[in-house]
Amino acid sequence: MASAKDIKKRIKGIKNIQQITRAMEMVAGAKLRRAQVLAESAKPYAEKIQSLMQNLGSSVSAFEHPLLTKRAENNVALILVTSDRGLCGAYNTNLFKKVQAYFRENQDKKISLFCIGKKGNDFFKHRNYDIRYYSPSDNKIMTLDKVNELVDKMINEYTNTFFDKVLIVFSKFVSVMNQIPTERPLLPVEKIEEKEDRRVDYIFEPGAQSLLEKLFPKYLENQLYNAIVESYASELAARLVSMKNATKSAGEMIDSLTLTYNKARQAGITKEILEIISGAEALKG
Amino acid sequence: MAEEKTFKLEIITPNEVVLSKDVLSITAPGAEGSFGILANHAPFMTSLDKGELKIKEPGQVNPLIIDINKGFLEVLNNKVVVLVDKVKTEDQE
Repeated sequence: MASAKDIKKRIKGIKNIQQITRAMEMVAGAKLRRAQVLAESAKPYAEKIQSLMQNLGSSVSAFEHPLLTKRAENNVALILVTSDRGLCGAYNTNLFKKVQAYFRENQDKKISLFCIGKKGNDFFKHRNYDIRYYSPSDNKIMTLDKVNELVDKMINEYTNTFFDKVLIVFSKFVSVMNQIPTERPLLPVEKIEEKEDRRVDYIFEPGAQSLLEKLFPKYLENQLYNAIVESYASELAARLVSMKNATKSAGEMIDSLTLTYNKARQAGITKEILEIISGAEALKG
Repeated sequence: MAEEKTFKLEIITPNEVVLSKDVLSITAPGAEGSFGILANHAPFMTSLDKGELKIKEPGQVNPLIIDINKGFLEVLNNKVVVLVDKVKTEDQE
């Protein structure tokens, strides 16, 4: 059995760890609230741009656009949204698994990775995957400018048939306890269902077609931006939960170690008393 | 004085709803020239260029001016929605 002193040292160490995990838990909690507000305030724009696409799409019948046409999927671009920092439970690992599963299922295709977030880049670089783009998420949400830049690049490469399909892999925020790694197609743009009852005769300026062409990049930027915002909220939620668990485990460990420590201390005292008594007995005799 | 007709104006960026109120008229920098919108405008959709959005509110003499980036504007059912990347209002400077 370890000596009482050693055990005491360990307890102290674990207490320090517990302090850190507790602090991280609280920080993640505060940040999560902010991220949720951000995700919430991004909604009106997303909804409006969606409805604009719908209204425009239904006004332009038989609309043909390079971004709408489906091609044989030989070259796939995969945009992976991960975090920059670790200590957030299985958040990143789940995303890696999703990507690796996609690679396994589509071995006949050429897949290029676009990484947003340090963790994803590190993981796949180490395993010699083809990474075409990397940007850290700077431990916060990527700026809109950066998102726009990436989307412009994707649109350009898609139009020039470097890619036949663009996917986003991100973590969907369901609740604090539940985040689902999700893949969502970005390109080709999925035709939005026409709703007859919503049909309005708009005046378009300039023509509907050129308006739609302008709207496409904005729509795609918004899709990617939303995925990033949602991932950020997921990351913080995952960190919150894992840090909560860590704090709890540390507490349990401290409890059991304290018990062991007390036992060791008691054993030491008993031994000492026995020694004194037997010493006294010997003197008497 | 006759009751002035107003309509609802919403300015939305990816990060927030910047403005949502009843206004008298707006003047916006359209892709094919500047244009004005009054209440009860026909359904209309256009893209906006970078420039100034002038908003006249009821009871105000001076228009509220908002600098906007490129974006879109939709008029539907007496409601105007402006979707832009970024805005800069005068009082934010």
